[in-house]
Amino acid sequence: MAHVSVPSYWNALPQKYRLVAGKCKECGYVNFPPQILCNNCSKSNTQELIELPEVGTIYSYTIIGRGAAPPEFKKMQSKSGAYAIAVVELENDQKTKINVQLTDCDPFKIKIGTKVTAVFRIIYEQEGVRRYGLKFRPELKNPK
Amino acid sequence: MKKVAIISCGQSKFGSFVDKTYEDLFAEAYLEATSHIENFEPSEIEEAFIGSLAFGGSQLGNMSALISDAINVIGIPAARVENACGSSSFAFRYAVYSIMSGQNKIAIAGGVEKMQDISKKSRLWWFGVAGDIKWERLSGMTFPGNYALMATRHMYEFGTKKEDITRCAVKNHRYAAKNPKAQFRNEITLEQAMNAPMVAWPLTVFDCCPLTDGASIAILCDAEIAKKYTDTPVYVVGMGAGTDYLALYRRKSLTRIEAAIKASRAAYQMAKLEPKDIQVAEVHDCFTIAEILAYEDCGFCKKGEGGLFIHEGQSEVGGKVPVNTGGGLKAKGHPIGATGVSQIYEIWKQLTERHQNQVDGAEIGLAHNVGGTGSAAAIHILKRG
Amino acid sequence: MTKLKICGYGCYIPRFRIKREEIQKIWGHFQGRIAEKAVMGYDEDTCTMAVEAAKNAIKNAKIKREEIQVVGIGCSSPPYALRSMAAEVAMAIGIPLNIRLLDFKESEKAGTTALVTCIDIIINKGGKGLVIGSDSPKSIASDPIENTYGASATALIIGKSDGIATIEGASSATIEIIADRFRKEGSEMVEDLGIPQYHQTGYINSIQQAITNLLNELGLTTSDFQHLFIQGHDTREPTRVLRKIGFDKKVLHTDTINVIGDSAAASVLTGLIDILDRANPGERILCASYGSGAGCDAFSILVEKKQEILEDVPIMQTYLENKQYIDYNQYLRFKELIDLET
Repeated sequence: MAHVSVPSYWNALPQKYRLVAGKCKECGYVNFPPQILCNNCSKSNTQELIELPEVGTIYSYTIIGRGAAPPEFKKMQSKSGAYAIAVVELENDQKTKINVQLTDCDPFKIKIGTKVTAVFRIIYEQEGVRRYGLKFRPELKNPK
Repeated sequence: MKKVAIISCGQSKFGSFVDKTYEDLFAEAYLEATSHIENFEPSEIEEAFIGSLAFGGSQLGNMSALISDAINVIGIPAARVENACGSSSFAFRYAVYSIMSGQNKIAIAGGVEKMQDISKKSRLWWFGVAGDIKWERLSGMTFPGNYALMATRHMYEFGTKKEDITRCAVKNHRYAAKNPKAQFRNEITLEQAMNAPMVAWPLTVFDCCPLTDGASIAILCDAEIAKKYTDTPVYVVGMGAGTDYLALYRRKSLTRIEAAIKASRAAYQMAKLEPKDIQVAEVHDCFTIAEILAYEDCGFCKKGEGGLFIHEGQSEVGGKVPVNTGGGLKAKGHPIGATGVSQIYEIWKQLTERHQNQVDGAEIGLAHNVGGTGSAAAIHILKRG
Repeated sequence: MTKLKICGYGCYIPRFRIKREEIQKIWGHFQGRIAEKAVMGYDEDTCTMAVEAAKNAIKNAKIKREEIQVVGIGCSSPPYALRSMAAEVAMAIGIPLNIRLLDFKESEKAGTTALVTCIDIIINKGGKGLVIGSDSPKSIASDPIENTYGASATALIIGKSDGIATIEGASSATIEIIADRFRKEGSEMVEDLGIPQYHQTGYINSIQQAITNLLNELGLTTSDFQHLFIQGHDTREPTRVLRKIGFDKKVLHTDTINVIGDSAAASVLTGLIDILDRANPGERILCASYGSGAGCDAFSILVEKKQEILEDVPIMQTYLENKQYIDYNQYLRFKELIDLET
């Protein structure tokens, strides 16, 4: 399998676990994931690390049919069946987008605009190492 | 700068040929190309540009030496060009440059891929190698899934009907049925395609291109000497290319392939032509929604009206711009690295009046080839001499 | 002992549930008394449950992550035999890692082992402690002990001040018995020797001893407690101890076991916060764990106020109501009780 080796995944842990982004001190642009060169102004090494809100809305989505998952997800799909992947627009001013798997939902009831929140889950397992990260689920609020 | 002509093109049969090697497939395409021209000596080829993803990894390195051997041109400069599904269009682009610059008089551009002779597990692994790995694939995303995101958003923003998206597959199967070199030579119905098993909602298996073995080649030369080999040279009058973020979520929009828009603008500008001048086109329909986006990104219709464009039959022979008369990636097949030049092969056939789905009097054609999920695109505009 | 406060708490219950009847239908009988139980989804493990519970607890306690000086996790079914889950949880939450990160997995009472240990550390070091019980034990599908094994996670923030309840005292007791339930190194499956006498001897005597010690230390009697929670494999087991320790059945809470199942190292902490959600200021809670080996930790907790409910931090009731029932086939797949292609 492996093209994202353990060290490479390790580099991305702050983003995978806590949505750490780089906010450019020069122009204020939020880079997710953080970049050496700001995506907006191209200035280098000027990014302050911030955590993006773990709440957002679905911008677009798809449902991966049974048997169509990448090989890293074969075992998970033999448990889950069809699952949804979405581009989620986070609730920061810039509405930063992120590509994530959805969980704890009926994938066929998802709509563009559905509000979702981040949850820490197993993403896949490779080389014997469980790769955790954030997925999103429809928001779960206490009744008033 | 030199003007560049295509003197001939060739293509192997597309399909599942587990008994054929890379060399077999490429030689088959080459022999077709040389059969269409006269006074041509293989020793006149000065450089080779070979597109391939090397799907399956069986000849991941130095593919160009293997291919040079297959057509007995060992000794010339040759290199593999890789830009995922756009590989051979970029190989073609660099071959054109090499002649424009005066460095080469004759060069070949082509591509080859074998995708059928590896295990299912290995195939699934190779499917995703050209997309964003860290954020897309390793969230469980797939290639069809990425295009499905575009379809979902297109349906949401413009009210595009799934039926109209899937019509692209029905049309392309109809054209492939008459193409002796196509992988699928059967027609399908819209109902059949709509109700097929889901691969990545809203896309079903009939919205997706197959895995294909195949090869393609174009022989290019300095326009000044083209008539020595053929009476019907086709000229490369416009070309453009572009890139975009590897991952979809970082792009400005999911309803346009920005790289293709940039490529088409550059190509039209160089050719001093407009979308309305295009009489026939081959576009990158790896998934049906990709053809809808291509209509819009090439300017054949307004943004958001791609669904209407096919609904009205404007992309059929007889419509405004007949598209994918060879069957497209969807039905002719999509041997990744060979696809771009095989599109040029179809346009060349149309402009030299060799096509089984001939557009009468076609003089100007366009080939639109996309790499990955839109992270690279190359467009060429060809004109009859 | 210096009295510590519970500054806040949070829980996590997986969304999937299986009804007792669904299991009974397959095997012809159901061993143990529960109505239904929680099952981890296809992308969950005890680590992911712990993270969600801990995030909720931190939000409810309204503390900064930097205040945390120790993370103690109790779990009898951790994803790794060798690799710190506490470190993984701390990384996931963004707690600075130069603190004490402790994993306990010695038995089904590992959650309270974590609690008693963290109490001592915070008394000495100050700051806040994050104590987590997260568990989802399993046995082979055909073994009746698998019937009541459920899943949950609960996290408490403890500290010297700013509390909603006071931990008045803790006491532990261990009784020597040769065998109860056990899980061998290298196996994911809990086994039971099947000698009820051993289990009951260990269970009743260790719990009785720990509670007696606790009451003596604090100078309290059974009538000082309005709420009682005792860990058990099902809702009936805790009732077996009642007479021995002289408590009335009316004060015993078994609701969480009844709908979540036996979540082992998470059981007591989950039962405790369910009571904290409902108890009135001034009321006293006694809770006692039980772990194979055979030991008990007992705690006396005095309620001071109700925890404020934040709209976007689900409380236990919200998790319990957000449920989806699964059939036995899904149960086997989710819990990996059958072989799956990889």
